[in-house]
Amino acid sequence: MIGHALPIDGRSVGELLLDADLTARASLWDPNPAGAKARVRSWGEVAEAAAELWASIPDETADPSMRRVEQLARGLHRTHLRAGWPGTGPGDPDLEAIATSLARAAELVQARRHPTAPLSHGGQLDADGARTRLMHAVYVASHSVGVALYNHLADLQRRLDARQVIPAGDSLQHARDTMRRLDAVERLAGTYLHSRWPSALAGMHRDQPEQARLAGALARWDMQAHRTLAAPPTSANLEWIARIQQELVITAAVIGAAAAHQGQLDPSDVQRARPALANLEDAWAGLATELAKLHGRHRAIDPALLLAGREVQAAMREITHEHAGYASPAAMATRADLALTVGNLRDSLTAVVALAHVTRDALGDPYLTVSARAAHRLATHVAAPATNAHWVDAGSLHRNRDIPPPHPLRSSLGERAEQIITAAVTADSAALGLYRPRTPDPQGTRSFGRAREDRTPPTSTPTAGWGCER
Amino acid sequence: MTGITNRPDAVYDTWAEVIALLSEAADRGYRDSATDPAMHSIAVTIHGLAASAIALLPPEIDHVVDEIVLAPAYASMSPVELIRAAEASTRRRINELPAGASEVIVALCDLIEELAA
Repeated sequence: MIGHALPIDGRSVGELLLDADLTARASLWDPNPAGAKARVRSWGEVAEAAAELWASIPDETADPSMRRVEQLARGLHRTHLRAGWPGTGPGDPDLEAIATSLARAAELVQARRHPTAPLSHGGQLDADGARTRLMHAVYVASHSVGVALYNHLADLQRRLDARQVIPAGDSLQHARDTMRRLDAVERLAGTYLHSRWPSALAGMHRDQPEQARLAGALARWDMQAHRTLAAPPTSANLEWIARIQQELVITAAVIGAAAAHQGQLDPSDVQRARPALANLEDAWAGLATELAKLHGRHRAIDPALLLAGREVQAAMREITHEHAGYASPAAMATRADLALTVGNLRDSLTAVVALAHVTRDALGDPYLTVSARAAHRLATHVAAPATNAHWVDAGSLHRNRDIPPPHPLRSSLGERAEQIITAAVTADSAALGLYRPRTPDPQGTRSFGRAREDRTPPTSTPTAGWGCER
Repeated sequence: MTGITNRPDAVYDTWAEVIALLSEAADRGYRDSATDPAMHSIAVTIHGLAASAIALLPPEIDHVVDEIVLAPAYASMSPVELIRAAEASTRRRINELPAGASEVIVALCDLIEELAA
């Protein structure tokens, strides 16, 4: 008989914990009173799986918080068995998914490490982070059950007030009692998290950056930016493009300097490119700042563009940053091949020339609209306040409608786009040297066989053949 | 966390304040990046979070984010302090946030932990 094996869950412990935490948060958005009893049924599984995982993670301090949660959960379970409430029935899919993730994480940890095994300092930080994430998942899951029970109780109370019959199997007293006991769990979890969330998560283990990530992210970003600008443009999309492009230029300069410091690039080539990169950065920054004034806090960005930009930014950041500042050149060199990374960024500088032209076209697009009040303020500023021209009609100003940019503003934006184009062309040629110098092969490239014979030019001058005019 | 309120517009009161704090943090980050280029990347991250957050507001009420007046105490805060304040706002009433807020909050917490020195 041929059986179908169940698919293996390939997620890491960290991913399972994150998924449990996210699912717990997601369960808060639908505190449906009709699902309260299902949540109560499944909550015990969450507490049990959490306690098992907690016990698997080495803990030198032997913190008792989760053991207390487990004791409360057992007590609650015994009460429910005695009272026959909430009774048998389906469980809650969200809470069951959390319990499954936590149980799988416990399996993974148990298979790798004995709970009393000594840990390195990094291992202890990782374990602290895992416990904090786990307790947070329990905290939020418990709250989601509490919210559903609160709504369930309100429903039952409304029925009683209207002198209606409470459905068979429902109990105001048991629901209230369970809600109070879950509140105690929440307080226990909250006390544990008070000084740890989210700071303790910082110690969790993270994988080294993948070298191919940035190149792929840059290619997707370039394609998406063109695609988004092919649709009617918005000032928020254009600002996001300008901000990401500015970050690309800053990062090219930073990684270039680090590569030169580590001897992976010629320092004079990096030095030569620096002024052109600084000019390009200023040009994008000028456009972004002006566009930001046109939409205030309304930063709604095309979701695909937002995602592509965040991916580029995250791929660069994991190479360049350490906390709130830059990592040292040596640290960056341990994360990525810096010369190769600069090469990727340098290729994107070539693509910038085309993107800068598309940006200029988008800024001149008749469908581009901006906030009337911001447009009025900026147009008046740009066109010198001495002129008494009314750039925006009173009705649009009063209602702050979306309007096409007034003439002075559009001219100003167009000039900024032209500055970007000029700076991009200059930076493209100035950054030509930002490639890894070819290391000469001391022995020369050796080649063998027929292919070499075919490629090797003859040593003597060939005789003129038929049809040759020489 | 102990209080449970289901006033529909309260969802947007809290979330609009979160967006306003994130926007302010991004703007200050961009401003500070003139002297500290490392701050630009942080500002871009916050900018992306603000954009994700505003996408969760129904279009008919997204104007409320421009009407939020931040308390004077926020005026002297750094971008990092502002995003901590935004995260603290999300804790006040975690059941009063729009659907989909969890991803923004998790990303916000990730950023805070990443920036922790």
